Amino acid sequence: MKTPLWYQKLLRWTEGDEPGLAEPAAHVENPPQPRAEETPYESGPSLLQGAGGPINRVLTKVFAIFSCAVFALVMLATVAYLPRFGDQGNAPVNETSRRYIEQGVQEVGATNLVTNIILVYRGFDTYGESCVLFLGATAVIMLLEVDSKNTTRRDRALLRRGDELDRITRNQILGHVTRVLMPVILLYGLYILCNGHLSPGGGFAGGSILGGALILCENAFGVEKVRSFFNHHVYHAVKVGALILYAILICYTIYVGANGLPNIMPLGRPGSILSAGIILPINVAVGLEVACTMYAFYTYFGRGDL
Amino acid sequence: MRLFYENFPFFCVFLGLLCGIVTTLIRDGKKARYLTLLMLAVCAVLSGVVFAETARAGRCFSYAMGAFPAPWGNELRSGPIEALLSMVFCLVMIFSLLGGKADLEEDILPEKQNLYYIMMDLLAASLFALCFTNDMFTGYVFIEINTIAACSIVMAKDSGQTILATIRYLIMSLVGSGVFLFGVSMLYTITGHLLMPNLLPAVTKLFSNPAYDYPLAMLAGMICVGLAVKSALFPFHTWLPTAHGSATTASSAVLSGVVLKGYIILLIKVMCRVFTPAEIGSLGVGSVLLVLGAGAMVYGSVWAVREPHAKRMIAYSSVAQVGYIYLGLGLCTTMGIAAAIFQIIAHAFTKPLLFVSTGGLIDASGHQKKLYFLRGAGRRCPMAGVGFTIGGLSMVGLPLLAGFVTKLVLGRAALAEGIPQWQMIVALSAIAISSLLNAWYYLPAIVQIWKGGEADTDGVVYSHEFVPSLSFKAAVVCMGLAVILLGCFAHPLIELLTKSVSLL
Repeated sequence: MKTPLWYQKLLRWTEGDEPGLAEPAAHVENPPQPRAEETPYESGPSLLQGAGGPINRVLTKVFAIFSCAVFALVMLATVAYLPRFGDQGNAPVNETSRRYIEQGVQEVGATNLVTNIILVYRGFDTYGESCVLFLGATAVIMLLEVDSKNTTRRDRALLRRGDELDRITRNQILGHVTRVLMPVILLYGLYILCNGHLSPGGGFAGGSILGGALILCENAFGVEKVRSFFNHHVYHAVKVGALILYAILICYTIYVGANGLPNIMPLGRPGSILSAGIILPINVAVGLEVACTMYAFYTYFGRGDL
Repeated sequence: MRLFYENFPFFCVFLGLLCGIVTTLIRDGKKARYLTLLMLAVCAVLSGVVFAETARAGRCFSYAMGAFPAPWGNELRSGPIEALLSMVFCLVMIFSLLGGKADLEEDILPEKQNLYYIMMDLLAASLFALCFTNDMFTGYVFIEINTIAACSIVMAKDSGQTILATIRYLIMSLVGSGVFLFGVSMLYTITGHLLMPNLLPAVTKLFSNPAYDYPLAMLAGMICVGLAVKSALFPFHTWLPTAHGSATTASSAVLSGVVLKGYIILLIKVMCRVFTPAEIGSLGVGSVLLVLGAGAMVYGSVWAVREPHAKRMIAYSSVAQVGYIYLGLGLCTTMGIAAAIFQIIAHAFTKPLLFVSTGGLIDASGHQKKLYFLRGAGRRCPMAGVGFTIGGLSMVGLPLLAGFVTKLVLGRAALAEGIPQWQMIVALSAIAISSLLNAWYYLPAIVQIWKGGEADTDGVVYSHEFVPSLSFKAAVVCMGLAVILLGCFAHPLIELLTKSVSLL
């Protein structure tokens, strides 16, 4: 059977060739050597090929669908046993949530109760979550950063050509609109970042807006422009600085709290911008971390480099 | 006023996290490596102090993470068992990194080595947190960290094989996390707690209400299955052999020696502190774990017999050894749990010893991975050969080595009063068959590496030059000694473990 054209295109695209580009033949002197793969192990089916012959494959599918269906039914049956959502008499309405709601503002100082819970009451968990972000970005760098193992010279040449093409055909409308919008986006991001203890928002939300602004900037003005103010060094400095600031604040709070020492961080007057002790600096640190991570994900998935 | 050593669990977790973050700035792989080793050594000392103090006083303590006591804030908790396991994990990670150094420098590009050590730091931090946590959700957060870091250290080698293995590992691991999270959120919905000491009375109260039988069995099952998928219990083990067999030596050693055990510790905590072992037994979850553990012991060994690749053979042996742990847990008695914890410690030293020695043997045989080509490797690199022999014989269950003690205490726990007849028969026959199969594949392997001459490589000449570095020798000697010491002087440790299970 002849493979349809769209499928061939899809294949070419998944293999990293730009569908719109002609084959780069002229400036690739040495044809790339096929990567030396390890000899695949004989035993054990490969993940992508599926096991054995066609009957085996059908059986695998039938089994997968069957087990998913059974799992879904069992889960639905379990949900029937759970209490109705939002009832007053439910188990989670207990002394834990009561104290969060009734004393949260006095004890921690932020009028946004959710921020109180995630950054102070359960600050250790949230620090763990920030480390998940850090870890995610590091894992992506480990896998996708351009190196001699994962990128051939042809890939690099393609990437350079793509950049060139991008520079020539850059969208003028996007550039102009971005120039107008950028200050507003940045202001909005900073507002959400710094008001996390007063209104819905905070580091995670504000940081994603800032990260989005960086991505927009990259699209509108090209990667060189972004590199001029946000390169490797800035990226690492900001990311590590933010996480260490966060770690110091949270460690201090935990150590002081656990050993019954006096806490010198002032709580301030609830509702004012400079209040709630460690929450504001933590929100800023989380925001910077999130912005860096988002932009890193975008750029490493795209070009494998900052 | 709080005793100062009670801060140490918190110090351990944050030292790991901070070292990981700081290592980002250290571009030099060598310095990153020293920092990681230093951090692990410091944490081993801190955990050791906590262990000594709590074991001496026979107490455990909880540590509020912040000014607000649990259930409002987070909490860590440590007794002798938690501290001992965290110390063992540190030591095993140090030895694995030392022993796998040569392969590490070869397999991972120099500019990406510091990233590898970031993963190791965060892996260590997450393991400490899993050991010390007293809160189900904190457990979940650090399971996430553990998952990503563990997948990354498989991926670090960056060959086609490891990338495929990582994808498979990641998918299975995320399924496990998801099922665990379902279980935890259901537990929260019907009890309203996440903190283990508060969950215990709430769950016990629900047990008296027959209307909750089904959801309780479901959520206990989901938590157990979620953690079982991540620790490669028998029907969910399919990701393990490729992931552990294809990664670089240090990763294989850390993954099978330490990472699998982190999840099991959380499971033990859930068994003892959210439910009681008797309740887990009455729900039928215990019997399921027992049968699956016995299945793993047989199935893993059968596949190991059929496996021609040395590292994958050892990885299949891990499947069987995890089965031993679950067999002990499935008995749902204090002795069974103590035996499982002893197996965690014994296997934590034996399996990295085997992986590290095999790495040396493979390097001394021109990087040929098949057992056939390892002929005479023990003569070319005696240190690795002796390490492999000790580890293999321990797995077979030769007396004076750690593996024998495991089988002994497991058998004793299965023969104790109150264990149903069928459970005893299943447990003992699984131990018998598994020992037989272990001998079947480890003894020929040991004979093969000590045979004279070289394997016939069809005229292809491979370089057999391998000079074991000092760190390799030190790692093999330390782990070999640990296996022998655990085998010879197991009695006080087992007594301590049995006594301390009630402190869990």
